[in-house]
Amino acid sequence: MSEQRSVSYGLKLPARSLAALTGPESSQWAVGTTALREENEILLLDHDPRTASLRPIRSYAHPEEVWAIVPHPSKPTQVATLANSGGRSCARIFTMEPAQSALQPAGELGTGSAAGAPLGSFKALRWHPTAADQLITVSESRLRRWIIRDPSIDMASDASAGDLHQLWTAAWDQHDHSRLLTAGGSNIQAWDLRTMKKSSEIEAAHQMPVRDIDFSRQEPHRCVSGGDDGRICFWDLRHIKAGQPVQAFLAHAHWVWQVRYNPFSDALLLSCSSDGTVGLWHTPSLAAGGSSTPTPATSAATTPRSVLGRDGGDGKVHSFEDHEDSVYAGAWSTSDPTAFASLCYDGRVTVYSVPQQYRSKGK
Amino acid sequence: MAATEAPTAANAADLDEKSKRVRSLLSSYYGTPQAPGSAPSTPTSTDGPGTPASAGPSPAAAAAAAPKSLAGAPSGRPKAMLPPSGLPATPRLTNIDSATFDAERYLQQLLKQTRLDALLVKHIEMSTEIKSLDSDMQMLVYENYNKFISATDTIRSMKSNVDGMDANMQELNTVIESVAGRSQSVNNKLQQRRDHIEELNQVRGLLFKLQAVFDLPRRVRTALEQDAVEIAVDHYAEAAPLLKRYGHKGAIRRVAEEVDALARELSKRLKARLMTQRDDAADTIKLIRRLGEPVESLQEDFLQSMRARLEGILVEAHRVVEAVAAHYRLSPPPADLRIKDPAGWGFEGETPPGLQRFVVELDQRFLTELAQTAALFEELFEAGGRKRLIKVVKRSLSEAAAFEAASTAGVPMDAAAQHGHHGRSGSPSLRLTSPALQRDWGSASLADALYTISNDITRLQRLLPELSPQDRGVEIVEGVVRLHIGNCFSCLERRAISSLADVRSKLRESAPTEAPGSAPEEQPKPLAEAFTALSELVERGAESILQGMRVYTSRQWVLRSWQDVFVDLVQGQLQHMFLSLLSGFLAMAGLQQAGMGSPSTPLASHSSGLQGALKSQGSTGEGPPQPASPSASSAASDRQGGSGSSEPPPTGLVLLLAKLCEFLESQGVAKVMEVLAAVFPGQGAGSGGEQPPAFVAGEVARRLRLAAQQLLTAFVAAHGRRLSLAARRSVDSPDWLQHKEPRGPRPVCQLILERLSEAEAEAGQLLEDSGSMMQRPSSFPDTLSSQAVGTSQAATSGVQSSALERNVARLFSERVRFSGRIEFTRSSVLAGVARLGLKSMVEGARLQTLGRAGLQQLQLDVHYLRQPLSRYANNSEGAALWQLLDEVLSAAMERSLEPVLLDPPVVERIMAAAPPLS
Repeated sequence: MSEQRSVSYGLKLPARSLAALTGPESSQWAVGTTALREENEILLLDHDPRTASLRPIRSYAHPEEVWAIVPHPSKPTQVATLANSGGRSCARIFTMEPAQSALQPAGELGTGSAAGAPLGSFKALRWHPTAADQLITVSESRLRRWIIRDPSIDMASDASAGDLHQLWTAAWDQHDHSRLLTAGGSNIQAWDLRTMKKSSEIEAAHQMPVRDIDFSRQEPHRCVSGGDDGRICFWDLRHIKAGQPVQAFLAHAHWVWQVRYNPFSDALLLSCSSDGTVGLWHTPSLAAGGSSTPTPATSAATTPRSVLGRDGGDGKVHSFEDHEDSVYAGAWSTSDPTAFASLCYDGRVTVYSVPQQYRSKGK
Repeated sequence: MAATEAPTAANAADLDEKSKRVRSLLSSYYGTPQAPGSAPSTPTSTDGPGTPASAGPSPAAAAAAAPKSLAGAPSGRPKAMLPPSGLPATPRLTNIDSATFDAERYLQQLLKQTRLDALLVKHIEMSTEIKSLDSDMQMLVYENYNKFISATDTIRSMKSNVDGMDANMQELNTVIESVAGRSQSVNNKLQQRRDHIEELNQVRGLLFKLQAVFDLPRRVRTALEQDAVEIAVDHYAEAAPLLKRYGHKGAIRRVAEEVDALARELSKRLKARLMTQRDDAADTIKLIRRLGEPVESLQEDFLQSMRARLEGILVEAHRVVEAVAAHYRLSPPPADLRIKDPAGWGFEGETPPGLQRFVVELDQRFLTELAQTAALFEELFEAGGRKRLIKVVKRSLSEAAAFEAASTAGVPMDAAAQHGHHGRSGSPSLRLTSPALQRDWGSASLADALYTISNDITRLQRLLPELSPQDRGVEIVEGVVRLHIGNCFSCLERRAISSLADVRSKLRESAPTEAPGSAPEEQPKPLAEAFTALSELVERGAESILQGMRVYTSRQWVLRSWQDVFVDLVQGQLQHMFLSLLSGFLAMAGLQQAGMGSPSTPLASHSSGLQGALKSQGSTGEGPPQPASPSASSAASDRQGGSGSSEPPPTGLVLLLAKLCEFLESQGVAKVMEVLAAVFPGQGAGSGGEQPPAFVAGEVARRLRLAAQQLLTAFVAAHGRRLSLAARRSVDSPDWLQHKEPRGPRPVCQLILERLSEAEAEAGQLLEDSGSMMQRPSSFPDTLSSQAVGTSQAATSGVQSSALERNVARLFSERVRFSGRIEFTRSSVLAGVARLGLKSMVEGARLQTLGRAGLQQLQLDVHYLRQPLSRYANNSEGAALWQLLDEVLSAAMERSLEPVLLDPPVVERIMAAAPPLS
């Protein structure tokens, strides 16, 4: 791919967390470093596609290592982080004031346990898609719902993940806000947040633990998951009883750490793996819902296919291989439908743009 | 003078004679007696001799004198009157009766010549003569008058008589008329009677007939009851025209209805008879025709019955085929296994007939029946129905052809498959070599059978030329050969797949019993055995099939018209078999081929007619139509491997499949190409002119290569997953912050090594080592361990160094690639597995936060693993593994709150003191 353009910026410390910032017109990402014994920071990077430059605009000190950055969906300056300090896990909310170099704390989620059950470390935090004062955290053994009431943040409800599972991540349904998916072990659980009960579960969604789940922004019931078996699986939540994905691809040689729908088009996805590559996926027929109902005819496609989708079919259209270490995070720009960033453990952020032929027309 | 006198006398006599005759004529005319006539003649006669005597002059003088005298006497007539010949005029002058008589001249002559006395005498004579003549005349007139008078009288009386008769005649006429009138009237009167009688007679006749009609139902029924169908038909046929004409009215209608019903029953009975009694068909048909059935429907019925019989034969034959199949234990014995005539079909006790025998028998039965029927049809119906006959015959013939094709192609295959079956179920081991491989897949016996069939079919030529039996024969041959080829290949494929399924189940069974500690050397090598058997099966099977095709190519008549098609067909089937094996492999391994259409049913390309027959054939074993089904079902179950409902395919199987693919690609295809070139010299093998050959070796090899790689990757991934689990367990489970001082490597390291050795056990059976394996134990660890110490020291120092330095350091070490190609060598595969596992260990470590003791524990673990790992990998790959171990360590250091490593001597000491693991 000769026209492949990428631009990189190297952080000094290892980093695992990357998030696209909502709000600004240009593409901005926040990167949090993960160095156990160093002073960590959250760095804001700005990507200008015209000059093909990626430069840091601000950095905020964050003493603990940052394991996750979760920008608030509607408040551009507000961000939640999951941090680890000497084995202690904490989840906090900050305000990033442009004028200041330090984060303004806006609250911390309690780690105490009402029922005395161990909370375990926080694994994921998800803002409510629309309600600005609600969020959910996933820790190893518990799923908790919080409501921000200045100045405190109250736990609204609490549910146990069950004895057998350690939850890893979660995804909030973008269309049905009472539904949340969590990844626990190799299963995917669907929760009804009104009752805080598991409504259904996909057993053995992957052959190894599930690393990431993402909901489609365009289409209800559609989501994608990536796991340690190197596969990404496309699901239609109306048909999870069968336990069969609509489509599955053997995507990477090692664990798939993140898989993300393009916020503007379901036909584009990115996947990050610890095999050091970033995959760009083009799935026009899946996006068109062509195989949204698994029929016996299409169920043959549920076995992982080799990933050659260049001839118009669904599949990986490019594998970006210039990272040196595991790629733990990737994020689409919230303003440019064709740009996405990936973060390697060595602290290198690379922004790629989607090759011309896979960009959807009219956007 | 005498000379002149003589003729004159003669003339005179002549004149006398003449006058006498006139007189007699006259007298006879008038009916007078002769007497008066004689009287005048007498003087003449007396006169005659007197005259010549008196005349004595010379003829000339006399002649001249005579006319002179004549002329001088009566009148002086010119001398021209005298005859120029100078005949004497005397007789003429004297003959008074002559027309030329001149009285004047006669008188003068007389006067001149005669003397007076003579004249006197003459005078007297003449007067007397006149007197007598007068009296004669008087008498004649009188007589004439008398006769006239009497005639008048007679006429008068006649007239009066006739006048009287007229009235009588009138009377008679009237009488006759009246008689005629009477006669007429009598006749008229009698005519009426006669007509009446005639009418009565007719009525009587009709009544007689009607009686017969009314009796008809009874008689027909009686005949029916006595099963005397012929008589019943006779009765019906007699009455039928009448009924047809008058059957719609009056009392006859009832009769007609009754008779019709009877006729229907009759015809039903006849038709039934037509079905059952073959020999009487002709008579029966005639009878039915007499019943007034239309010819078309009759033909239809006839042909129907014919078809039924022909089908009966085929059903029977089908039973035989089933019995054969059951005999070879390819299918459960059919429930209704009743062969009517086992001996006739060539059964000897329980032993089923050979193919040839069977075909001959079937042909015999079928074609004989067909020919007879056709002949009969010809005889019964005229040319009109021929088209229909042809149609039906054609249909049943094609059915028969399809059946024969299916069964003939199936029977030898059954036999072949049977060998395979016994070979497999008989021995508990996985040895799959079966005697069937030595066979020629039944080609020869099939060819013989085909010869019989096509010859027999040609026999129909005379009878049914429209069917062009020769073409049909060729068609059958072609169909059978096609089917046979398809069967051969799909059978081979089926066996390969089912052998693989056996291997799979064996592997599944043996998996739990495989004790973790048992040394790989002691184990049997099921994979190696299975590979040997399977590779041999596929390679030699394909070869023997192709060799079997020689039978066809060597027999010209088989491939008369479609040599090229045949070659293409074989090649196509071959390619199809390879590809379908391939997709079967992939399905078994739970993978899906990319960029390839789903394999069509192997035989779908054949004529649909055969396909139908094939369905029935399918019951005789793992039928050809479902060769994909075992693989498909296994694919379906494997597909659910992710959902836990069924286990994923055993890794050994995946490796076996990969190796098979690789073998097929590297050797199988080449071998097959060789055989192809040998069997079909000059054809195919890429030399096929404008059309690409049906067997594209390059493409097949490419796909095989692709699949082999895919399968190998899957094998590595599967083992990598197991290793990853172990590795993750090694780094996830403990509480690294509160870890105790390490006293030795943890047992979980042993688990990692076990997982690896399992992979090695499988890989070792099938994959070869690269050459450097032997010498490595001496050289490899030394070189690397020093390097390792170097890197670990670098890592140690890197703890404090910046990320930049770390990156620079990484620049000098080779990057570990995960997407790299995995070679078909043991070390490459094992290195691939180990790479995945170690990488997982790195990832796991990066998620932890360790204390000092935890870090040191991991250091020990890594150290422990380092040596055994070198067993599994070659130089470069080994280096990569060592690098990964370093990465584990450096990740642990990064995640350590207190990054203090043990010194190498300390490590050695602890290792030496540590209790041996397991």
